Amino acid sequence: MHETNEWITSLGIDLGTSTTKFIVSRLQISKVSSAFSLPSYKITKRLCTYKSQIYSTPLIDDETIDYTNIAKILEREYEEAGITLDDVHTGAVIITGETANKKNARIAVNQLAERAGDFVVATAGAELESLLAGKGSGAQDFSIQTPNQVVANIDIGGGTANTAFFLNGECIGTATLRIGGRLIRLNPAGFVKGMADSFKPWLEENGFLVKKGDQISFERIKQITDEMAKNLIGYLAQSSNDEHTQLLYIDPMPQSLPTVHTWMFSGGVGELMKNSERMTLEEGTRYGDIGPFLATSLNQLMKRSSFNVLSPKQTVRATVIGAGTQTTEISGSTVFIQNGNFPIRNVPVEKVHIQNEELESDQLDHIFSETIKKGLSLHSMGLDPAFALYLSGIDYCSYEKLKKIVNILENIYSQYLPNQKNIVIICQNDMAKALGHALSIRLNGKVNCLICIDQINIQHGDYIDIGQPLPSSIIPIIVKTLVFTSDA
Amino acid sequence: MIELTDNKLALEQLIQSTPARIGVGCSGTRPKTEIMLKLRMDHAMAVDSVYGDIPKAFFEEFHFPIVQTPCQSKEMYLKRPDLGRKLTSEGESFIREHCKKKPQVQIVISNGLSSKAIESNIRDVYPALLDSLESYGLSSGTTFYVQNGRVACMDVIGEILEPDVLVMLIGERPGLVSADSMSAYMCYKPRIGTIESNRNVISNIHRGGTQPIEAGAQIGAVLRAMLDQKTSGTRLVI
Repeated sequence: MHETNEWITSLGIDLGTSTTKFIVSRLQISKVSSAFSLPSYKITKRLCTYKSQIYSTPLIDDETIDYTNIAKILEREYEEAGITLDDVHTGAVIITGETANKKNARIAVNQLAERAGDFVVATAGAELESLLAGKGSGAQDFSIQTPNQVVANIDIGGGTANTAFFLNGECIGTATLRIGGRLIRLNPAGFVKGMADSFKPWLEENGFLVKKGDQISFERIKQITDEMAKNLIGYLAQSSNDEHTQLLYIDPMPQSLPTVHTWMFSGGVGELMKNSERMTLEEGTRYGDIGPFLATSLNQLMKRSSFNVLSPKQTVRATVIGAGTQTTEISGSTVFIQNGNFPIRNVPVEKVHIQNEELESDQLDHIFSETIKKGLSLHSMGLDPAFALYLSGIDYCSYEKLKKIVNILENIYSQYLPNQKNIVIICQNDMAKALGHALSIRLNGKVNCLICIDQINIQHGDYIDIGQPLPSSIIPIIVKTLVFTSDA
Repeated sequence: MIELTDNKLALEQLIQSTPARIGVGCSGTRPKTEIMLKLRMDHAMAVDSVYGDIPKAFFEEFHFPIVQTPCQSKEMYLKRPDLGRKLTSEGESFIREHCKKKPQVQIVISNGLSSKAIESNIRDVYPALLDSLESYGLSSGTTFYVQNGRVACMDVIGEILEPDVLVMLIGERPGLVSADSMSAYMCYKPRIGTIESNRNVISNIHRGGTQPIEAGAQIGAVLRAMLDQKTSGTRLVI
């Protein structure tokens, strides 16, 4: 058997509150199985090969993303990076921080994803953002090198502070607070040019009565960022958590936080923390916001509290590198693909959790039809596939159980989705190929496309994009958690 | 488990990574009683699966015709590997008369070194394999069972029935972890003189290893590739 060693190109685009960045990366897919087992492939290397400069995120006004100008930037960057649309196999556009709250966020990010290449996906959501930043900054790798110690990566951009906690390479939690460098915009003389609406309640509660047009002093700005730093670190280090901090929550907040051993700061503010020295009002407002002040406040606080702070490998580009290099997975070893018009985008996932006893009983029918009914009520009817079924919980799938599942699948699809032409099934167990064969025989040409994949890490409520299969039936999969804070 | 004061987690990860008996501790220079008993029990199961026979009920369920090799006893089977690579003359004439000639796919089942492997896995692998053949548009000949066969007895069978491809589902040498592990050996046009590098194998098929139904599905894919590429073994691209 020949070794497969294939490279694919993956893009990352991060539309942040204050800045927009773009990267190109190369992912190596290699066969990791021996010649005697079922073939199995993994992404074995993730290299970042091109990094764009940092652009200010183009906005038409406070509420609207300037999509046309972003597209222009992208075009220029493609040229600079020496790639064309055809070269791009996969990638992700992530919309982060306050930008996700803009009126046209969902439209902008989806259009951009389509423009960026056939298989570049749109993602959003504070949890995902935290995770990607922590992977991109190098915090995850660092946690592998320091066993049994929690590493926290706090990615602070213009609008949010996204924290991911890593233990032995695993992300064990995330938390996001509305703390960022661009929540207040200033001119060099200290006049307030604007404020994020979402930040105003916190300012008021803390007695910082500032409004657009006010001139505020160096000391006053510093008081504000000191308080922001105190709220953020107080919450994350679990030393203080007053009702003021709760005004900064972006739901849902975790029940409990781990005790952190090492702290890393990435994002634009993380970058500024590397060399925040004494500065004048003019220097502090050089980006037209409070970013440098916040960086100084955080540095002072961390030093005072004698916390163990380490510089991450990547700061301002941590999220975009995470988005470009870490979002693509490949499906399990043996899969079933019959036709399919790839890429298949934005397929919502409905989970069917099967207990083993249920497989022996008649309840199985009921569980499947309930899931299908729920799926139909949640997702728009026009889509084909309306959703993917995720089969989980089976401990060992014998052929007898497989036959049972195939019978039920055939019944429910013909009963509830008779006109569906595309069926996508995801299995937690290694059983996708066998299921695909049995089901395709049973359906006997009733559907155009049947895809069964397995061994993908997926949660109920996720969306997946399924890419063009590579030789050897490797399918690139991107699991997306699409959460927009405001739906527009 | 051994008692460790530091890096307990690392030890747990190591233990998690293998079903082998590691980190089980000792008493002085000897294994602990519990561990020793478990080892002897596993060894006994391995011996049983070599010497045991497939129960009659199995053949009532599947109706596979039974063909013999010249190895009339397990002792002879173990001592004379060469005889396990042949069929008795009765066996040869049986398949010549009763099995479909020149099938696209010939399926052969043999207990090999573990009857338990056949008993535990055929019920899942075989129907999944038939589904997979149907799905790939392949037809198969007459499946039969070889008592006390070795992998290379497929060469003799190939010589007589002349299949395009052959798959042999055979019990593996039992280990102390699994006594019911099965392999699927596959070959494009096996004939007398076929060398080992011309065969492909999917091994470690049992509940705790390569999933039986998925193995069945993949065998079809490998056979399909053999027919398309008209080769097998190290030259086959999968």
